[in-house]
Amino acid sequence: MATIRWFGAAAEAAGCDIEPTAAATLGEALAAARATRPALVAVLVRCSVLLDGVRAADPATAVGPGATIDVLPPFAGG
Amino acid sequence: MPKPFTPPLVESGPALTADQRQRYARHLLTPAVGEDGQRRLLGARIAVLGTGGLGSPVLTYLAAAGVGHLTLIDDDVIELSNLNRQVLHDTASLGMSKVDSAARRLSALNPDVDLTVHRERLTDDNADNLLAGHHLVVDCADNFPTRYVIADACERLGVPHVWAALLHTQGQLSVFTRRRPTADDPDTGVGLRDVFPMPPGPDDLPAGPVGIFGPLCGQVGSMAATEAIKMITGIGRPLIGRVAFVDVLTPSVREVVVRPGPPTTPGPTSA
Repeated sequence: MATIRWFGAAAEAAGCDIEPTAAATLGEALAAARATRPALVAVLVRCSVLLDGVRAADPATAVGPGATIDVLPPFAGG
Repeated sequence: MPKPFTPPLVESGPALTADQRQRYARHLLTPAVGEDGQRRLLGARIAVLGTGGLGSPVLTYLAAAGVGHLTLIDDDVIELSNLNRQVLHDTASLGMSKVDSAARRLSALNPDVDLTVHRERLTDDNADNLLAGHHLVVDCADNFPTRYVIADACERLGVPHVWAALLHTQGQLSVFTRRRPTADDPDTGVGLRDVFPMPPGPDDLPAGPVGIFGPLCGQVGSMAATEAIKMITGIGRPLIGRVAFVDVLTPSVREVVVRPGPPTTPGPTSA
């Protein structure tokens, strides 16, 4: 089992800060989240996704047991 | 004293004067800073981009701490809508250049600090020239293009930068050290583009100004000033390779580990 951690607008759209996932790939993990929470569709487009700390954009990226997927929206305000 | 997590960016400077011993007495009594740290701060040169919501607490604490030289860069003038959070400025200064208003307040706060002000916008064309010669840069900008100009310039110049960014009641903060690899130093560090490879496109941004909760500027700005002081003096464990995600409503600080990502090709980022 891996873990998805949502931040900012992604957490708001997901309805939680953290959740488990049994997906085998990054694409499957995010698709499953989008399917149950449609508000994530628009938010995920602008978020950065880090898999165990490394930016990951390829949906085919394997998600191993114990992995952490962090989903961060960009901020620019100062 | 524990071994520094990262070496201090600045060498220890001359002995303190009697006045300086009084002014910085509470830092001298703080074991993490002490006389050695204070002498490093007095020799430091830091550039701060943006003198608004984040820049106000960052500059105030860095000036009060006795950072020897502060360079202020901002092309904005003070508007009434700034004053819920930009606490360096006041109602009497409406319409005034922010860097001039900030410099006036900071000079009054601590005459030990040399100030350089640039009333201009940072661009790909002037960034290297304006940022070179500093030990550290603090990104307190209010827009994506300028943040990528800063990140790319710091990478080219090999200057670490403290990055802080806000939205509504949340903030993000990190210390980026990404630089171009050399034969002697193949470690490229982690930079803004390892977290967010490109600025969002115009269609992905909200139209018009975004809300920012005033005290959030103070909280995240104070954390940014702390990271700057840690980097200058070599104390503590700076937020290198980590993004702190701050939510003032919870309140909570969650940490995201960041490692070097796939290569990115910086393009022109100026507004």
